[in-house]
Parts: sequence; structure tokens; C-alpha cells
Amino acid sequence: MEMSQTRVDDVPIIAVSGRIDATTSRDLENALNELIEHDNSQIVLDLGGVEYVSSVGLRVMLAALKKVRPKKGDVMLVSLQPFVREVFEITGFTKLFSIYPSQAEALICKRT
Amino acid sequence: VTINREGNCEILVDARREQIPVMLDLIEREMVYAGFDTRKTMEVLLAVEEAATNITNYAYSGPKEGEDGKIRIKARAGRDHMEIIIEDWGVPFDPTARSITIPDDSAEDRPIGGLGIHLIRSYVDSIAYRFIDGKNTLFLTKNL
Repeated sequence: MEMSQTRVDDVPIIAVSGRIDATTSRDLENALNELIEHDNSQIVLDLGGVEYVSSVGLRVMLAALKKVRPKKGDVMLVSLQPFVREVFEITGFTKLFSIYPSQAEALICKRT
Repeated sequence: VTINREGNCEILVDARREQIPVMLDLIEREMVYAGFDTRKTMEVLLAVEEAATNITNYAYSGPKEGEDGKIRIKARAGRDHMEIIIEDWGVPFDPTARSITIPDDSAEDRPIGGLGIHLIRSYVDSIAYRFIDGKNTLFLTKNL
């Protein structure tokens, strides 16, 4: 798994590629926690390069969402690939997260 | 790791999270060798990871706490399917016995966890469980 971070309109964007599994999810957890600890409550997570996510990865994302929601924040998911989207659907996670086709659309929705 | 080219392989590892990629690498290689496409291979890897995660998290707890826990995984390639057998010597647990409901509620109220078994069932064609000689044995089958 690889991650890169950028910032657009002061919103942090984490772009992830590869597999989010039992071991690599720790890196994602650390990145999300660091952003949340520095008072970032709106976070875009670009999963366009992610081919696989297991329940450990889902839990990391849900834990982040639970931390930012009380601050009126959100973890916005972007560009889910077919298998990853299906995993989200099967587990009911599509109902929990704001999901957008692209970073641009997530950022527009964040502004409105 | 034991591998023979009649489509069988097995590996015995410590029941620790860091060992899960070792098991997944082996299963991925066997799936590709047996002719499974990328999507079905990923589905099986997900099922295996979820089963292994449950074992590393829960099997060697309670009365089994402190034991030198192990997981053994076997892959047996058939003509039109792959059978994966996952064994552990931890607390007896039948993942086929639980009814799974995915709650339709908000993130704030949703408990973290409880998704792995649902994913296993979703991504294999058959699942069976036996507890024999102090050993949990989970049989997963994926059709080619």
C-alpha cells in the first residue's frame, strides 16, 4: 500500500493505492489519526488506486469517521473501484460514508 | 511451507497479525497457478484474511490466553474449484453458526467489528466448520 497527502482549499486529501489489509491498515490509521489530532475534521480519502480492502481497513475508516462526526466533520471517500465498492455495499458501509466519484466533487460538496 | 504440484500446499504460522500476509501470499500464488482470475483471487484472499484475523484476535484468548497459538492453512486445488482449509487450536468457534445482520444505523451508534464472518460468507461458494481433536477447522470452497 502507498499513500500520498495533498491539501486543496485547506482540506487534506489522502490518496491510497494498493491493498488495505490487516497489516497495511496501520499506516492509514496513523495518517488519519495524525490529521484528526491536528484539528482536521474534513478529510478526503481517495481510494482510486485501492484494489482490496478488508474489514480491518473498514474499521480504520469507521473509527476516523466516529472521531470527526462530533466536530461536524466528515471522512469523504472518493473513486471507489468495483471490488472495494462491493465490499462497502455488502457491509452496509455505503450508508455510513459520503462517497463521491472524484476529489473535485467531494470538495464541491464540502463547500456547500 | 509444504507445496507439491498436484495442487496442494500448506503452511503453519504463529497466530499473529504480522503473519497474515505470509498466508495470503501463499494462497494468492496457488489461486493464480490454478487459473483463477484477479477478482476471484481477491475475493478468496479477503475471506482468508477475515478468517485469519478472527483467529489472531480471538482464538487464543480467554482460557487459551498465553498459549503459543498457531494457524495452519491448506490449499487444495480441484479441477474446477479451490478448497482452503484453515485450522487453529484455540477456543472452539463456529463461524457458520452465527446469524449475521448488518445494522442499518448511524456511524455513531455502530459497534466496531463483526464484519469478517459476513465477508467470508459473501465471497466463498461454500463454507463448513468442524471441531475435531481440539482443533477448529474451517473449510472454504471457491469455484473456478
